[in-house]
Amino acid sequence: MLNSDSLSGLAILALSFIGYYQSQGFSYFSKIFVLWVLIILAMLGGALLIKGLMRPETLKFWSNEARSKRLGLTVLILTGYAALLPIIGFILASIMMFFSLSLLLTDPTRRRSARMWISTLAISCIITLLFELVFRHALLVPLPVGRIFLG
Amino acid sequence: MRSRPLGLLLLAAVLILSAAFPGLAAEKYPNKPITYLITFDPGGQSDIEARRQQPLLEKYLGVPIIITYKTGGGGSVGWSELANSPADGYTIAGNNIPHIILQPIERTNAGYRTEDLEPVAMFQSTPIGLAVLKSSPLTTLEEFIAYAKRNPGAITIAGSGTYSGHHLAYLQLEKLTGAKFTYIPFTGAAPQVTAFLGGHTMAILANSNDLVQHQDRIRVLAFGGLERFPALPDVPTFRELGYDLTASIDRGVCVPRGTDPARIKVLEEAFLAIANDPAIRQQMIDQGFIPLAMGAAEFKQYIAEKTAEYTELLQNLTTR
Amino acid sequence: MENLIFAVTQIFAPVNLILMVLGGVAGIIVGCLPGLTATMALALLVPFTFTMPAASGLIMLGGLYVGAMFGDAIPAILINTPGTPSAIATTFDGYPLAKKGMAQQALITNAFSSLVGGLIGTIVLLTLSPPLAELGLKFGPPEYFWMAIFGLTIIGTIASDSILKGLIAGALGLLLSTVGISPIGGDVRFTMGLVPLQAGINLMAALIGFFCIPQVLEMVETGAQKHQVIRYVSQKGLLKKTIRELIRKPVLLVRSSLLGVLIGIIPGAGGNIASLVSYNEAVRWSKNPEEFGKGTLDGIVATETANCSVVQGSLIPMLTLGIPGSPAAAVILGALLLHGIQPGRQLYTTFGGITYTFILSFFLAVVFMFFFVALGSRFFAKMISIPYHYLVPGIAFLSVVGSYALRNNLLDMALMLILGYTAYVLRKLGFNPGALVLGLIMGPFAEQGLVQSLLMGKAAGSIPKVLFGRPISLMLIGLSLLSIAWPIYSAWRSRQQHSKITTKEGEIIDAQ
Repeated sequence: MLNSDSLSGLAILALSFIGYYQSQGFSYFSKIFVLWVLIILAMLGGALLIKGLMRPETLKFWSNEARSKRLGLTVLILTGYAALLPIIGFILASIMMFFSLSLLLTDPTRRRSARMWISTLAISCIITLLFELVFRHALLVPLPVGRIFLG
Repeated sequence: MRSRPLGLLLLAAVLILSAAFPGLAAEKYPNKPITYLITFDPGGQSDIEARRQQPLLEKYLGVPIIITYKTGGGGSVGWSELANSPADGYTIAGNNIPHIILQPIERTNAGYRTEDLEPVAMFQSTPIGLAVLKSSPLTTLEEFIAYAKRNPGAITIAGSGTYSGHHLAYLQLEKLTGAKFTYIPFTGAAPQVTAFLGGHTMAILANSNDLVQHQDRIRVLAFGGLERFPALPDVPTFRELGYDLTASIDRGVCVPRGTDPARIKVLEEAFLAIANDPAIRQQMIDQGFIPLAMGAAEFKQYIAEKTAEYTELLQNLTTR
Repeated sequence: MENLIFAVTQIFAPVNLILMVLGGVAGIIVGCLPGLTATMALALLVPFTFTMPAASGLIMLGGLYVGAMFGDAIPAILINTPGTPSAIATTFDGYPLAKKGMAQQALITNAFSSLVGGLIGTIVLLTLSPPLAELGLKFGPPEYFWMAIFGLTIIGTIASDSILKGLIAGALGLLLSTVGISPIGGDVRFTMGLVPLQAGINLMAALIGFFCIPQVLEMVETGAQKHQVIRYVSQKGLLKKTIRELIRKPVLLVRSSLLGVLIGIIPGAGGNIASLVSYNEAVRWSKNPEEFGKGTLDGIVATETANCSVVQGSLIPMLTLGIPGSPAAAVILGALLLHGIQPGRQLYTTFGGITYTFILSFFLAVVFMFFFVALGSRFFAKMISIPYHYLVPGIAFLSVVGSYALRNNLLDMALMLILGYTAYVLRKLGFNPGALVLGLIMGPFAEQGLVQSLLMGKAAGSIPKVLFGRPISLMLIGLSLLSIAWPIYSAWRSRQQHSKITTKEGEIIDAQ
């Protein structure tokens, strides 16, 4: 259990000092607005810190283990997706992301059937490829290109 | 849907195949779509030029031209993207003088060097002009400068960008006349012109096309071209008035350094053919541009001259 | 007059009708997908209009622009994700409505409000363009600065549960807006050495991050059971019933539309600011301000009328002066130039026929789009019933790809995710992502307005005179003060009423 408001206030204060330090080299007209915002931010951060100390508010971040695990895996899948896109390209990365995230969110009891796996895979492929065709080939909107596979 | 997984799988396979083999590659250039990077927002002048060229380029080159925006940092983000693109002739970008010269001089971290961008062709020039509103009591450049000398810093001049063509023209103007002005930078032609037309600044340094467009409301005092500007022939040049100030924004296209000269030649011919099209030339003149058709070699020479000129100017001004 | 007759014959030409509908439907789709902006779609369409007569091309572009404003509310209502920045405020009430099972009513309200906004906007565009364009020119740097300050006071409304945290979020947004190359000084700020970051943080990428990613994570966290609660239930006669209810709010409809037009004519201020301001005013003048944010149709009326009438508003300075009022208007201006048409006075004389065709076509386009979205609302609302394990990856997929497609920039995609994860944590800690976005939107206006005013003030010999001595500035300062005082006053008033009720109850208890 942590005092969430005081901690946020501290983080805001730290951020404003880092910002202040970084803005030292700016010319006058680049600095003035940043400086004002940082002063206001630091004051507000200080106020939050004090408020947190006077009226402590604690926050329980995750309610149970299954949920946090699912959440962590989702963050991992999304981050991995973004990281893989420029390497293996749009089509493959998207199919992998869609498939794995969809499986993760399927009811565990239904995850055992082979039919379910196949239809999830098929839907992942169809959605990705429809997107590819419509966006890259029909609308000529740029999609990420990979270094290994171009798709 | 859940009842027919195999049917879905089949559909997926068909889609994969059609996406994976879009056509077999041949050795002829160009044989696949060319990406034309625009480093400014849609609707800006660079975009309008590219859209004007797009159908004709497709006709001459025989492949689709995909216009893609890579904006920000006054163009530097797009040019650094081009500098890092494969030099195969399939990525080209609009390049603007003096931007591509000034940015690498002014900030070490622009993300590209001027010489990383290999010029292909230049097709347009827009001289920068100095103007006041019609309601202003200042009717000539002489009066304008005399007023500024009597009231140093009181004349506000709207321009677009810092260390941009307009900013440099202002610095040159101060240096050549010995008068003091206040330069107010805006983030593009639209906000700059709005502020000026609304009377929030007393004068403006703007591109010829903007000045032509608003000619009923404004009085252009002088143009930065070498010769008088065809759309406004009554306006003198700075040179005629005794100030050695030439300032313009020039537009062309470039490819990454190291691109095969044969491919550059193909692109150059296509762009020059468009630039020499009489209908296109007339459109440009009507809208307040000077149409040009400058090939790769000449363009390169021009960039080298301008680079020398600006480097010296910035050093003399010792602004930093 | 003959121009008007020409215009009417043009609009009802079958080819033009087809182009209008095609443009409009494309606009709805583009508006629906965060990451595809109306500006980009318009630019994409411009070369196709070369082969058409100028009037037809403009009809199609106009249809697309209007369609996008109808479409952007759909994802805002259904999945809490604005399709364009103009629909940010639509999420405030739209998604709570969908959660209550009232998605279809919300969608019909969107269609009807956009229709009213579009009609009123077009009437203003047709009749009052020249004087309004002159009014828009009165907005100089000091006015932009105060407009930004006024905009920031909206934090008081959207973060009413914790003003302090709302203000912090707003200030963080302002700070984020300074990343990139400084607009006035030219310095490179807070980019951590990354060249692509010199372009600054893209508003749409940030929006996708702030709204989509926390939504995805929340849906993952709460799990399938909770999600299925918002299953869509089809109801009959909803269209008539909803519209009958909406017609009883004429003041709200007209006020929001006029606000949209007015903000639209200020060059640079677009649908995002218009809809937020309009939402704020709706809350202020409402008899039941506490209903906002929990799912009231009034919230959608306010934002959607304003963000549709902004379209015509932004065309006023473009058609009369040749100054584009929004990025999308800039692209239409480009299309006009490429057709050899110079905006300005001759647009209403030499090219009068084409101009009036373009303006009048909006009447028809908004009616078409209204029927499309209203009748399609049942179909759209069913999208909520897509199985959870396909819907969530679908949103994630669109967020990631959309943030890339915006500017063809991998860094935007990475930033979107980082901002998204941060927003999720901030939301848990009680910071309002809406306030953060508000700061991000207002930051550039505030900074440029302030610094340019300082330069102007120095040249004029008095900085306070420039910042505080101009009539529109004074009006905006007054509005800001009112906007700050209002939530405090209404909180005080409701406490007063509350205590009265309790005492009354107390008396009753006594009497017993």
